[in-house]
Amino acid sequence: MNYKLLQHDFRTGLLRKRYLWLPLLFIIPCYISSRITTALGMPGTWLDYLCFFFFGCEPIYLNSLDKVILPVQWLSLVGGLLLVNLDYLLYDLDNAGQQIIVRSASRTQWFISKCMWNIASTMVYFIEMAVVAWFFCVIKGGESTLTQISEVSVGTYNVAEITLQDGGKLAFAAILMPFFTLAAASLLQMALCIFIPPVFSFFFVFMIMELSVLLPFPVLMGNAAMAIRSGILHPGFMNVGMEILANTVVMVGSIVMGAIGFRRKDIIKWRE
Amino acid sequence: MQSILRVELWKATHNIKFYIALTAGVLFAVLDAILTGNGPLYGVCMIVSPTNLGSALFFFFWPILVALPYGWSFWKEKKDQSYIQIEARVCRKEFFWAKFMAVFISGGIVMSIPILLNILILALFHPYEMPHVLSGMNALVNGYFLSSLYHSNLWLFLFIWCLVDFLWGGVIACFCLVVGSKPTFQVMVILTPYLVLLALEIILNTFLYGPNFTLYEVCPMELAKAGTLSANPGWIIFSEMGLFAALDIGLGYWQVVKHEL
Repeated sequence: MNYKLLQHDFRTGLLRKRYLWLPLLFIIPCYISSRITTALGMPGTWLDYLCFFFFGCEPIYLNSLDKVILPVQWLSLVGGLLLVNLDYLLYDLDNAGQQIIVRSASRTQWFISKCMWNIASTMVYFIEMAVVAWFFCVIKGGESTLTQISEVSVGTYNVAEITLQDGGKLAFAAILMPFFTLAAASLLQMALCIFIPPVFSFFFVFMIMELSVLLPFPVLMGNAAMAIRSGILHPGFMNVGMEILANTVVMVGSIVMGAIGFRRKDIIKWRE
Repeated sequence: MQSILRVELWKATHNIKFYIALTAGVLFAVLDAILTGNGPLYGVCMIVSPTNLGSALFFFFWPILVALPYGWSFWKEKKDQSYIQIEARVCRKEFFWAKFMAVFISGGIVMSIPILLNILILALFHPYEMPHVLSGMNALVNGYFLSSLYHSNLWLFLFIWCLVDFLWGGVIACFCLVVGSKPTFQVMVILTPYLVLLALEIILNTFLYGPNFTLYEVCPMELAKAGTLSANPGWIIFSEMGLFAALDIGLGYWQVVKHEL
């Protein structure tokens, strides 16, 4: 692994102004969450706030009578991350990155460095989310701990059948699985950018996410990013093993496909 | 003016992105027609009753679909310097209006053709009946735009809604002109209207609606449907459309005409 390359990507890719705007995206879920905790008469913990971001929606059963109501907040969080990570690959080919790619002497290493940056960027996204949630929790007088208050969680998820054993399972379903899924989705988007224009790449991955909302199958990766559909919290819903397998396949497939595609790409004629 | 308009219109409707956007819209509309259940025409067409996968996809992605055909053109012409060639030959005002109309029409076509096609396909297989006021399948009641026409002349109602969606498509597509050539990448120009509408949807849903049902639908992304959850009176539809048109013309004019080369 070429650490200089990685250092360059972290410096130019993670120190961008757009990360400063992200807290605006996270304020609304926190506000809704605080409204719920206020209505329940309990302050809620940091974990309660964190879990609200990716709780998603219950499976939608399409029929000819009910109008479809999409979880716009969940979709905006997913779309926000996809947008943040959308154009760095192209940006780095347009600017000083052209010099870097000549000196790195390996296109595969260059692309793998971009993949590492992509995962790091997803991590920064989640860290910012956690910080905003912590601020809200403290302002609202809640405990900044990673334990959960079951009444708040059940009130938030609005599903009486959920039996919560411990905060760890909740954190796994509502934070770790969404992180893993969104990292995979973001890598898929970046790999697709090599073959098709970025707008189609964004459209394609975002459409998979919306299809996941409407079709509750574990192979559609978006289902794993919705805690409410997780088999851990709600026995009988999505199979977590299958979700992890699907996301791993997407992640590894994107890296391999992207690396091969990028090695063969004519980057001199490459325009958006 | 006529020659530049002709050129712009030709370019707007003869490019790969226009064909892709139109094909995607048509696919969603056909998918809706395939997946829709039984029932009379007034209760199943996607504009009135958006209840399945095809209509959900179409009405969630329509701001991208309308911006895709030609919304990016001004950005591209500024970036590849071809704008200078045009600017030397025609007045900037004429260029702006020609560009505006071309973007408007291309967006309108991509928005309205799939809806019209969906109605025509469904009309082949579903009976034409007039909706009864007390019918259980009745999606539109008092307070909805043209609800009286829905109960008296369904075809006219559907065609007027196609026209309304043509206007929505055009107005939202022209929102790409507002950002001018500021973004670094074309993709951000195309996604600008979508991001603005999505942000408005989230903000309005959170702060205006709250958890309860409200009297009027005000989210612009939802107002492209005839069958919204809450009532969508004409004054809301046209005032929001007018606001977007004013922004398009005002800021777009400033970006295209007043801006330095």
